[in-house]
Amino acid sequence: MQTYLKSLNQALKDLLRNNKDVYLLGEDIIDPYGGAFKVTKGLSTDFPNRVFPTPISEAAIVGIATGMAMRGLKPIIEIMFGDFIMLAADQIINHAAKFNKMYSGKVKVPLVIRTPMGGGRGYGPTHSQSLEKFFLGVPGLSVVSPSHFHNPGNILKYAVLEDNNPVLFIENKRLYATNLLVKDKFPIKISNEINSNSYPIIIARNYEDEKITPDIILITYGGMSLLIENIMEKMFNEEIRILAILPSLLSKFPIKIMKQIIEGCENVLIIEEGTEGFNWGAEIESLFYENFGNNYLKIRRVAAIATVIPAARHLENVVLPSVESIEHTILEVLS
Amino acid sequence: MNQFNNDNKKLLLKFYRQMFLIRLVEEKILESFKRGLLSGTTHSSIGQEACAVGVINALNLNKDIIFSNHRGHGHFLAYCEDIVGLFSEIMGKEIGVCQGIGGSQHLYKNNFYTNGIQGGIVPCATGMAFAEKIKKTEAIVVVFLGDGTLGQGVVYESLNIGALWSLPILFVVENNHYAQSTPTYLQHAGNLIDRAAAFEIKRKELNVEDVMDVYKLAKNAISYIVEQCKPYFLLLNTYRFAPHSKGDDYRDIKEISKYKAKDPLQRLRNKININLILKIENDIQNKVNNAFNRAMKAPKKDYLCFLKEF
Amino acid sequence: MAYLQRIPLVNPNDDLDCITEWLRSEDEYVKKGDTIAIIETSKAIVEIEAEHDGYLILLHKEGENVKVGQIFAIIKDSKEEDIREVLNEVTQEIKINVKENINKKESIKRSTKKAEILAKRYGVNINEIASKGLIREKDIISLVQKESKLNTEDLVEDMYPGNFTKRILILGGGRGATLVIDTIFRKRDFKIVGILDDNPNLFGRKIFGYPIQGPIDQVLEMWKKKLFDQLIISISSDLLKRAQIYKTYKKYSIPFANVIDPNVSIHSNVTIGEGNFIMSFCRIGPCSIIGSNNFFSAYVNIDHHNVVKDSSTFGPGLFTSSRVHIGDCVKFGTGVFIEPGVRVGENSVIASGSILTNNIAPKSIVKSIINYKVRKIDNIV
Repeated sequence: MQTYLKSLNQALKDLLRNNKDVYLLGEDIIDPYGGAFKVTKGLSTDFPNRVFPTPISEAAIVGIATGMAMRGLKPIIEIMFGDFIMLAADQIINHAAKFNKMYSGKVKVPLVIRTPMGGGRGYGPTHSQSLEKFFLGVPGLSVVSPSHFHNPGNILKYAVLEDNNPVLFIENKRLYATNLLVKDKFPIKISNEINSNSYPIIIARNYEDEKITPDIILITYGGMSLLIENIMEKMFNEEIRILAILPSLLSKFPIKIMKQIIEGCENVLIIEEGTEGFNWGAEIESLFYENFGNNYLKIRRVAAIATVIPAARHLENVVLPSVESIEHTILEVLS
Repeated sequence: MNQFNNDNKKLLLKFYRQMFLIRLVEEKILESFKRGLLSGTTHSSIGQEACAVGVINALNLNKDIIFSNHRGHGHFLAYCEDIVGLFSEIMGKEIGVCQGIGGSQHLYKNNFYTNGIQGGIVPCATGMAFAEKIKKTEAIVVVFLGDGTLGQGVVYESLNIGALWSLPILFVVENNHYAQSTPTYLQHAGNLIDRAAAFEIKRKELNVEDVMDVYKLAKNAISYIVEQCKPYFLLLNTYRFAPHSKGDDYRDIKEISKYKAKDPLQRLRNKININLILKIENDIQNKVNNAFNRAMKAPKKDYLCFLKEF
Repeated sequence: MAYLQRIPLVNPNDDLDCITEWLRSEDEYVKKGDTIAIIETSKAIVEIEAEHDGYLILLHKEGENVKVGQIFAIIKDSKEEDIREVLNEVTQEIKINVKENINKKESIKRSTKKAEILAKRYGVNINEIASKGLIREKDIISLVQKESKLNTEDLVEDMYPGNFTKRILILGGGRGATLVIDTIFRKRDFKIVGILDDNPNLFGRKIFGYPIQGPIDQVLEMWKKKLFDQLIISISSDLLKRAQIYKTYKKYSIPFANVIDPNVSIHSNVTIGEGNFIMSFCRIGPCSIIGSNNFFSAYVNIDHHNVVKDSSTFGPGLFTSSRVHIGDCVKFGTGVFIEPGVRVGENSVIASGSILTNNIAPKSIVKSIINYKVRKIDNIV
């Protein structure tokens, strides 16, 4: 059984070993510390000329990596906390994401920025956010966020080696220590994987017969998979059939494929850890209505309340989506 | 001695050619804007030609990399003399260096890049230097900044890392004493050259009056960078004769005249035989006119193709 | 002195940990730093060390879940020390924790949430359902279905007076029934109440969920009980049986339905009788007259100004031309082509692949020349 963290660590090791152009940059990533969340532990020891610790200069780090990528290398940089990504926003949006199209396709920027987002640890308002929503809709930027239903290491490898766009690779703090849900774990059945060769979309059900229409469809990504696993087990006991769709690529959503998956079920719940309003869920919901607009579609979104994420644990639980809030919304939709 | 004189002479002729070319192209562009033939924005380097020509001729153009800024036409022409490509790009034509998509501020050709965000190019350029060091190509990177750019935090982050990691990068600050409309004394505390001192980066300052001075200084800087694999900071005190972009000039006319009297282009002109000068100027004039006409006649990029490709 | 040892916080997300093993026993002397127990957190197995020297008192059994921060052991300086008072305080604290945990546990479930949702949706009072165990989804559904079986007619009439979906009874439980039910699914213009067939082996078996309820003569009983509105005969191979059943029940004036696929093209001025089954992609051209109780397979073209009488069956891919006249009880194979003006006499059998160019007398068998071998292939190059 592999944890999310181990999968990433192993993938970085494989990437460094098998590709001489891969370089790692980030704050505090070298041994013995091995990174704030230990994702890069052991790598600077094994590959001393390929892993570089940097000063606290998020903007410069991203810019430097952009320059390296433009000159043919494959840099992977770590931003210690997702909250700090804003310091590099100009470099990501006005430089890395634009060079390829601005220079009429003649220059590639195969850059990967890894960062953990998410709360649930009581770290407070500036160390618990999920800010990926602000980078959605930036042309030329891939935003990726694997859950523990996915294999994050494989997805990271794809992002580094195959995706020629700059990639914002969103990890989740709560998922690091979680074991990957590799195969079926009763009552959850992982029935298929769409786009398994690139950025997979996982379809999971908490009931046996695939031909039966589910009662409700949950669409979510990243760290919310922990809650989804919990919910699916709970709802199994309540006989509520859930079909969960977990994409790993956030910046594009293949709405047409969804048609045959959601056939017959009109209840959809979109869940994300970012704040409510103008978010990923809004786009998915619009896509559903625009493509399958009918009077029976009942779509709801669950997201964090639009306020700062409190440090006090009991308050944090109320602001962020929880098993209780999701369950409540499911029952509301179905009644 | 003769050989040296000959080489020197050849160089001076080349410098004059390029400086005159830049001057003419920039004037043509401004004139075309006035006549309503062009749209968008432009930032001309009239008066600063010596910086571009002096520095870029000191490079190994087969492999060295240049990252320039919004005021990059002079650097571009000194690098590759692609007059048609430049005019077409500004006119939004398909044969423009970026098919019209980048425009005046966003140029790319071979190892020449520009972007329009002040300071944002500096970490990119630093990263490119890092890549070249890793790949052991012995290429260096030149990044052109303005004096105003030294207000941007990311510049200092890059100076720090450039020095810390010993990167082969030449920071050239073209101090034309104004950041858009704001004079330097309202922008910066301390001395501009001392900024490099803070990171112990080798540095030199020059008042640009003679393009040869710029060239020699650049040559020194570049050999230092290639030998030591360390950064270098070059502060060129210069002046622009034209507005920041177009029509936005509130500077004192007397001040502008004072600098115009010391125009490095005129100074070089006076050093060369007048017949050679006239021949060069005629030649360049024709080239520029032809290029302009060719660019005018060229087709725009088909918007359907654009949508498909992008 | 008695030292209280508490479960340490290992993972910020944990509330309860499990004592998996005691490594020392009750009253054993331990030194500070000795491992005394192993606890299991949500993420890892952790060893607990003694925080003082002394004699160990164990407060919980192996396998018990203990709250983080809770006292789980006491270390006392001397063996004889009286720690009853301390134990009392500790027990009080544990009692409070236990109470909290019990309150946290859900009150015993009566029904699944799904059952509650369905009960609300169908207007069933879930509290009135007597049950031994958990009330589940299937319990609600069967209750609803049972209720609907009893009161279907009244319910339908109350909701839609005058114009409601006709209840159809299918005669014949072979493959024909499958075709009829499939066509009804595609158009949804009938409510299927059941299937009858004379083969007793089929009783109780289901086609697409509909049961075969008994022999065909059960029709009369069901008609008396008003259990259906119209009949359709799905038998296609035995023409005589088909015609006979039709004649029998017409005597009682029981209406037969036309079951026609939604993509069938019926052109202008066409008359159709009753009891016809027309499958997909058929065409009935203008000014044609179709009788009753005919079975049309897919892709049959009855062109304009044709007359088809009763109880004939048509295989797939049959094409008539203009002014063709087909008598009663004619059986057609597949791929038959009929030229204009041809009259096909009643009770005939026309084999597959026939091209009819002349009139056919009644009771004829028409065969076509097919499967003609030209020669054997000698060498395969």
